Amino acid sequence: MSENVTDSAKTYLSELGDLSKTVDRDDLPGLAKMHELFGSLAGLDTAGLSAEGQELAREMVQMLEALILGEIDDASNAVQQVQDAVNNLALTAGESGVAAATTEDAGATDNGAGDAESVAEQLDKVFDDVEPAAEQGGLGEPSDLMQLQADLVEEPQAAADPFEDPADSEEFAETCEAVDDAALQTESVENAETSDNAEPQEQYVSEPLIINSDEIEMVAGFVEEAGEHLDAIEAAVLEVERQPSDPEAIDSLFRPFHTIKGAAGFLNLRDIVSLTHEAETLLDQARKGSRQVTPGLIDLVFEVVDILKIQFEGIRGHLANPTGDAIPQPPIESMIANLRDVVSGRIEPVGSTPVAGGPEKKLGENMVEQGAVPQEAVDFAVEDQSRSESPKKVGEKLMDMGVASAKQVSQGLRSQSAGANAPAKSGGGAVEQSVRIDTAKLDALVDMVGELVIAQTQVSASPHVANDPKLAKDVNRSTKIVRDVQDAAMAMRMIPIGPTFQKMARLVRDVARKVGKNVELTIAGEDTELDKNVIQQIGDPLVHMVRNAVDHGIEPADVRLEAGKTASGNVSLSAFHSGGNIVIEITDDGKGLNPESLIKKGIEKGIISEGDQLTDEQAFDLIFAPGFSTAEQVTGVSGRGVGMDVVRRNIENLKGKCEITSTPGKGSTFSIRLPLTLAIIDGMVLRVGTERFIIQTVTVENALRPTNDQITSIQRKGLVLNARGRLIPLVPLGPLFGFSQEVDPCDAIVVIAQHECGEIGIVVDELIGQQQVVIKPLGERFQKLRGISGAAILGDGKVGLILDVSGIVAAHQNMRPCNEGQPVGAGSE
Amino acid sequence: MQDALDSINQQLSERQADGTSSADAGTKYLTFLLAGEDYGVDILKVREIIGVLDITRVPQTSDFVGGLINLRGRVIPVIDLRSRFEMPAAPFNDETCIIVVDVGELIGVIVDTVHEVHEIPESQIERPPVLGGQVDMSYILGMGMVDGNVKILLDIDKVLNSKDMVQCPNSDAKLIAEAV
Repeated sequence: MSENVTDSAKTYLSELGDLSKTVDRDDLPGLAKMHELFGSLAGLDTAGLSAEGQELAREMVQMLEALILGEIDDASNAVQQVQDAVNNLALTAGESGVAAATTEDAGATDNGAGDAESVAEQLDKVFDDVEPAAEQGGLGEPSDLMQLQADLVEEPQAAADPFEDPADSEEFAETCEAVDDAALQTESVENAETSDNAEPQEQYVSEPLIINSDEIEMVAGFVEEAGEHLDAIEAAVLEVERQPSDPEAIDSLFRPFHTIKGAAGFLNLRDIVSLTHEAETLLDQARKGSRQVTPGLIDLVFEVVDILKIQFEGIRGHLANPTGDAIPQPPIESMIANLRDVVSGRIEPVGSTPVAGGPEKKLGENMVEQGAVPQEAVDFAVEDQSRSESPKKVGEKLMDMGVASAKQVSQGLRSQSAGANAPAKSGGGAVEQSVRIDTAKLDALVDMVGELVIAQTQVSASPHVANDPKLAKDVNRSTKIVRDVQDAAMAMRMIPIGPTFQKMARLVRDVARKVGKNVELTIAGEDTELDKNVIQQIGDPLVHMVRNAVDHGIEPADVRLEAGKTASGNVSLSAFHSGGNIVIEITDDGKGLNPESLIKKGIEKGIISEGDQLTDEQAFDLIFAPGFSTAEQVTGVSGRGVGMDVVRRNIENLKGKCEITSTPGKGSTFSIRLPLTLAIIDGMVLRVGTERFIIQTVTVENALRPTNDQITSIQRKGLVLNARGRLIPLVPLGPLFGFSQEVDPCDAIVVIAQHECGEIGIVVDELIGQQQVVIKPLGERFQKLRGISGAAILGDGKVGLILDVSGIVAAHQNMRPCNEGQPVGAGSE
Repeated sequence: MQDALDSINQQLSERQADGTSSADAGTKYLTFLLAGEDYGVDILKVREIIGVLDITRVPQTSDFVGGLINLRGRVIPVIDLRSRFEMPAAPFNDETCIIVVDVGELIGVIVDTVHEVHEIPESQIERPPVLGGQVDMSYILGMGMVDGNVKILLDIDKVLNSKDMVQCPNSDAKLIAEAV
């Protein structure tokens, strides 16, 4: 064992030795790697490295973090110090039996003595504007290194004006420094606290957020990225909750927090820096095992995420409409105060609030008062405590807290420096493998590629090509390349649905706790890619449906047990490809939908009438009707009767479909069938007179040439088609649009298409074929057109109009009464 | 004809290149023929001139809306200026052109034929005459004199934006009544 440790130390040192030769102040990945290595060194036991060496390693971790975050003025000198430290470590390690891989470098520096403490003295010089912090009470007898640490964190930087022009690199560095001082000062406060719990806590004072106009673009980029990091955090938190003892899970939480902290520091967003810093510290305790992962802790992290969300939302709003007003502030101050209390062990995170008695009871109230936690959160926490499978005994907790003070003085300090070490990997480790592109540029590219395809088609149709085998071969090849380019251009808009699903994980957890159920969410097919627009717009419908599944679908635990199911419900979210579409399925193993009660309710609500014969599917479809709500009680979570109709509309806007299958007692599945992209549709090309139209293939049921006995005329004004017992109203498209006279449907083609309230038969002259088309919007001028939703460029380069079935129905219904069957347009032709 | 178009388009792109330097020298106008009358439109509004392409008719639109064309991948509306000015319709021929103008969005304007680009100094532009209720003068900027000939200078924004292109959304009872 100890040999292994020695080996690791050797490896780390030799890597450090290599790195230290090449690293410079601008080499962020290098610095980050060193940061990580020092962190690993500091984490070894004394068999690998002497206590002094570890101390030095920890110092280096801090120093490197400061370097990476741009806190240090004299960066080159600092780098030199780090290099010296590497050499010294190699020497001291050598003394304790490790063959130092970097010993030969040691001679190159002035620090031949190889004494860790002397390096610490040198470090002092780096921060020569540091004021001694000896007055800081409670720090016992600090060693030189401890002193240095205190100095570091106490460094005042009143001079730096954070709002100077950041273009000026020197001043910018100062700005960064000031920000990071803020973070460091926060640390110092903790240091003081952990060493003396009785001392009154220094109140964190929030700063009004001001965004320099020069930084707007950077901040916008930051906010966008931060959103993704928050999503990652939420996903990671849920993972931690599932596997509280998995240090990797907690580790994966650090990275996004730290990235946000780093970037926020860079942009002078002090509140965000402080908040994320506190969260990191807290998580570090959990990782070190000095803190249990309790539901309360999880809640606390979620709250931090929520506050950050509000903050980012505020910033985003501000950027979109910079009125000069201050950005609205979420309760950051109280949150930070709360986190500090938790970190210092003064209080437990809210979730672990014992059910009854004791001073802890005050804690919940206290936090509510502070505004850090809403009352209901405290309620949940208490509830959860009583529900939790192995609730920690109150006494145990008190014990933990009772003995904490002495231990935590040292632990606090230790975890402090290691806390800085933990997120090291994020500094420069993960290299972004993507480029952000304005979607407008992508759309332009897709447009042009579409044109290219058409131009290519025209070339290949040229008679010259047919007569020249060589040319034909070349044209064929270029056609293939053009198609590939088209596919590649389309693929650029595609992003995986994973992050959207992760958000649902958080939702399931929140809703389940709110309604007092235990629900497991399983996710499959996160890598399935959809058009960015589809992903953006599918979020809301998914939220509704997942919420419904948890709230209505899953039964309470006792009902489930009675039915012979597991106490905790299961909801699964999956995404997969199916026949040129993407299918998203939300499945629950709850009580299922009962067609009879749906029909009964439908009659009650006047959506259907008494005598209607509905198939099960039609009965299920009732829940999409406006004003329909299946919940017997409105629960505040769902069941307000808005929702499912909106869900259907949203999905239809995405040119998708939603289907329900359900077995009473077994559960339900909601399938959302979506096109791969909004920009392209599968269309059928129809001809009416000389014009061609495109109808979306998904809306088309079938097309037929009717026989005379299938057609019934009503008052000579309307026609219906009898298709296997169903009566379908016919809409002659030519007359409706005023392009041609009415034709006998028996000489024409009837395309049976579905719309919201049923089916219609669109009468056209000819069905030309199927084609994928790129949708071109018609612009505001043509917004009022009925029955036309857009245009597309057909294979020959001419524009074709895309039909909107619902609009055709509306236009058809309006046309009849006022115009005696004569289309309006026809009069003006 | 194609040569003439190319030459004018060339001038257009040059104009775009050197910006708006002609402010002092007077405004440049693209002149064109419509039912025997000479018209001019501020060249800064003109994007390009193309021959007549396949035009896709659009239902429920006013008579003067020719339909939609594919301008290198962009779908833009075209209007028939003769129809817009209630002049008799004429079949398209080789001379017929579409002037693509930018009035916030691109719109094609069908004219009988395009002449050339004239620079008309402010002093050579007369105010539009008063002709009584028969002629809507609101979209005429003025009368430009070029070598003794009169060019009617159009305020193309007003021409294109003053009337709805979509004529009759069927739900509008009043419009339906008019149509009947």
